[in-house]
Amino acid sequence: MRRMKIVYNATLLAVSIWIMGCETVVDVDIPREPPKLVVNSTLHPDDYFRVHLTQSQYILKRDDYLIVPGATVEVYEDGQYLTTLPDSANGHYISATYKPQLGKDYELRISKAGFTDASARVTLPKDTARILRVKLDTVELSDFGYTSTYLRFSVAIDDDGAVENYYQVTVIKEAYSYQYDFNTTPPTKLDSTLYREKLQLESRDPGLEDYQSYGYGILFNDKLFNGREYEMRVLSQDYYNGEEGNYPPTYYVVIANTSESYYLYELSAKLQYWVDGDPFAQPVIVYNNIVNGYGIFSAYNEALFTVR
Amino acid sequence: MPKSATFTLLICILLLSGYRATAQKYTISGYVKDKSSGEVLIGANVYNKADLKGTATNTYGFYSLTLPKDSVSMVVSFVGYVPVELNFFLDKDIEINIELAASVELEEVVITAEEEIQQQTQMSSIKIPIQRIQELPAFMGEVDVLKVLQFLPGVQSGTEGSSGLYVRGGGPDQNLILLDGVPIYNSAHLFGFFSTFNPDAINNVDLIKGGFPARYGGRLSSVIDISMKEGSTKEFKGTATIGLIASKLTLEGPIKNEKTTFIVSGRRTYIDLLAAPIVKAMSDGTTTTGYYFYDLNTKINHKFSNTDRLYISGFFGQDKAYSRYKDTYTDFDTKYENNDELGLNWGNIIGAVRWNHLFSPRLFSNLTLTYSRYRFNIFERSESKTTGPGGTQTDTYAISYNSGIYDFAAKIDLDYIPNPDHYVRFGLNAIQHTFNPGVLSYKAGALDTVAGNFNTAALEMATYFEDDFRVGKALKINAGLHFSTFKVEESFYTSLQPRLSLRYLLANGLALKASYAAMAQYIHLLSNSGIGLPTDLWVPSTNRIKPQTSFQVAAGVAKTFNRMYEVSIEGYYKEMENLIEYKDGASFTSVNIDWQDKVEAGRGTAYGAEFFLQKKQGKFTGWLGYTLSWAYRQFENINFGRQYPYRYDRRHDVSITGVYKLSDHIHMSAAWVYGTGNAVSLPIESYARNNTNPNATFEFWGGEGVQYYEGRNGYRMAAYHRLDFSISWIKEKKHGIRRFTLGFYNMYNRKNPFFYQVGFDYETQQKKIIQYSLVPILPSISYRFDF
Repeated sequence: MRRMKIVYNATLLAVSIWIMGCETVVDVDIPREPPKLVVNSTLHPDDYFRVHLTQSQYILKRDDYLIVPGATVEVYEDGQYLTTLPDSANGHYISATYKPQLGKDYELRISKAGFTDASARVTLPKDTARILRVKLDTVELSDFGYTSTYLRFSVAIDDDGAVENYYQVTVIKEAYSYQYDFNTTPPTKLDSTLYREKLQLESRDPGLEDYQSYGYGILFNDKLFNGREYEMRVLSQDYYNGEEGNYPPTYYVVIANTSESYYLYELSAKLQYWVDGDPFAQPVIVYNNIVNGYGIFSAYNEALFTVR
Repeated sequence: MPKSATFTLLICILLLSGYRATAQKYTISGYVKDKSSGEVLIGANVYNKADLKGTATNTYGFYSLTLPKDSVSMVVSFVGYVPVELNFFLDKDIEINIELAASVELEEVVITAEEEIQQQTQMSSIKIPIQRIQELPAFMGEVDVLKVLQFLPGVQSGTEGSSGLYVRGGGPDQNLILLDGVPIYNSAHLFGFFSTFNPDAINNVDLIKGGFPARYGGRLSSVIDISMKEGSTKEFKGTATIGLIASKLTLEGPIKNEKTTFIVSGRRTYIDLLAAPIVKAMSDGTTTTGYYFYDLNTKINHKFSNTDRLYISGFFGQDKAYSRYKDTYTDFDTKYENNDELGLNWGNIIGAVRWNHLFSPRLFSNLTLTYSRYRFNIFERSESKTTGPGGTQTDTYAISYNSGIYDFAAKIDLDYIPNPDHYVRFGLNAIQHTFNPGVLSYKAGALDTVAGNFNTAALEMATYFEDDFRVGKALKINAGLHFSTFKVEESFYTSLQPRLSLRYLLANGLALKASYAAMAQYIHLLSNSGIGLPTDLWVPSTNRIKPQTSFQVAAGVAKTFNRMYEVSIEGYYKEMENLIEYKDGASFTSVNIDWQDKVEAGRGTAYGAEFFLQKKQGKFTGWLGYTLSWAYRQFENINFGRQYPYRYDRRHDVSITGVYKLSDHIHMSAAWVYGTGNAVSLPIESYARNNTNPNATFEFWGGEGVQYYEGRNGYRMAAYHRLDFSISWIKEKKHGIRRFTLGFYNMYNRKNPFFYQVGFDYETQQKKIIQYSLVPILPSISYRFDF
């Protein structure tokens, strides 16, 4: 990728020469829209209903986003009123009683004086993905003549052909970290701590876009394998250090079934961030499913597999 | 060629050959040329005064007029020339070559124009003689054919300064730009600021925006047919021009006798030569940097006999931007030497051999063999040499990115003119394409790797048949079929494209016109920026990427008033399928991904109305054009599948041009353009990201929240307008004519928007939307000498 930067920079240089010398800067007025409700909520069956409510701001403002206290946030389940979420401070509205259930349709209705009422709908995916097997091995891959060793997590999915599925694979590493006193010779081991961290992943699956192939999770849909068995392989350059070699870490492979809104929002938000400032890229419009507002109402359900 | 197409072609030829047998008629044929230079006049009007039946000269200046045995009063006319009338009794086939003398317009001679607009079956077409192009104000003094076309209704100019053309809602790849019949793939120098066409080497420019005759194919939106000069048959002469950024030299003339002529025309910029010493001095001699472009047009033609002529022409154009760094120093006992070079090159080479043959006075043929190449290259080379007590160590690396397209083509075109009521054209062509959509090679020491998309070969073939015929006195029809095929990988695409143009002439001289054209395009241009950078990639249709197709319907009226003013009003509707665009965030630099994985296929719709008023003769000439138009795009995975305005969707577009010849010695010209602002994507609000998902795949470091766009291209930039002006002083000197021109681009210094960006003002500590404007008022001077 570093080499590609050279090509990129060369082109950038050329364009800069082109633009250079005759640029002028003029203020441009952008029409000010009244702020809208910004609703962010991702449902998960193990978590209580949780909504974060803020308000949008004019593009030229630099303030922190203002939270919206005192709003009425109602939750409807399969068209029936379920509950009203209490204001739990800092813009969060969290139910102390209710958790979303698999396969149910949910609707949020939000009202607050001074704002247009907003609403959004999502269905919590019914089942976790039907996972046939999850395995871990190592593989050597070559890029531009340089060979590196990768951990390879392979997830075989039996896809349901009757529905459009959206999947996310994440890998959590559980291992010990060790602390040493380097004032002694040899250094003295002081303590060990168990920790968990999400691994940075990449995938070379041909069905994935460039920006989709890297991150703490690999998000993909079943467009290319609808109704068939498919093996998604994700890679990580995580490797054991000396101590860890004696105590190999445990890896938890988390496979999530997500709503379409989850998939579209996560990818478009990531892509917008990714291409920010790139003069060659078209600006990216982030997916939004809030009626009369902005934000995302999404859901996912997950299953966890342990590999060593 | 499929059997059915061959069969249809043969039947048509046989049917039409019957015309000759039905009456005792004879044919007058020949060429119409400029009297002083011997250059052919394309589109000159040739007609019999008695019944007003006539024809027009073709691209080679050839005409053929078949009339009954009788007295003939033949008139030959062309705009800007004194018409010629010949009276004779026609009782055999005869060849008459006619030379027209340029008129002295100041004497107010009423001159008959070329075939008047209401006489033509063709609509949505504009023919511009090069003389008219050369009179208009020019950007930095460089007369530019494509920039003049941007002044015409239905043609959008893209971004500031660019010579890209966006015709009736189409993209810049949808223009079939032909130089002497050979397609040019990149028509821009200096990132689009200048076109590759040197006006001193050009004879004529034809633009067709709709109602395409069947002889044209391969692109959806326009045909720009540029004919090079052939070289003077009369005398050796030349033109030298010294401009602000470039100089040109054109030489032409007969070789030995009038049978063989040549023209050579070259142009080169010299910013790099002027700047080199300054850059070198400022960098203590370590750095050289610069940019230049050149182009060279050459053509030679030979008349073997009255029935055979051969033309050989070539075009070589190249842009190069470079930076070199060389440094040597010694630290203690070690010597360090660094040599770095970085650059961009791109350019076209085309070559054509054409053979005109007259099978009979009524059957004209042209056989063409062509080669066309466009290549783009970015490279970086570096060498570091360290010489010390331990010996010499050398580290080298080189990286190079290449893309391009190469064509070999052969075609035969035949014109059959059985009588004044029919003008039949048919032909066949084949193009062998080789596409290279981006290959990166990397060398470092012993390592030598290549990555990217490797060459794809494709064979494009087409055949056509069209007849421009008259039904009664009022109705003229041009009906034709264009059939094309494209073989690539395992796919074989075919397309049958019916074409129809109608003209109905009312008693008051008003012509009603209508047309239908189906088109197919087998090649695509992948463009990140949409502004026509040389990094844009030409790619073929493949197994996965289907050919672009379109249909366009148009209707309008046209009339010439007082033989002086030509008016046309047209409405059009166009639909395009299988357009491609980069997916959101995709970039041409990611060569490790197949280009087919980086694109989306979608559709486009465009409709609008155009008004065009021209004054072609007199002391004052010029035109007024107005376009009201809409252009949209729709892709499944862009803008969440919703239709959005095309970047160059321009609701209103106005252009006014004028040339006023104050006297023989002073000519003034001006051009004013106005266009609705381009549609761009600009955030208008921002909002907090979702922080309720612990399972998010990505961590956002810093930055702001989500930027909200009102859909793709949902914001309009400020309107674009500018005035250009030029004044020329012309004087006859002992050895020729000198012309001194002073020009101003963007006369009232309008700060037109080039692009907008969300920026930050450090003085006020406020975020701002910043408009970048590219070209302020720009004076220019040029000195031209015709000898």
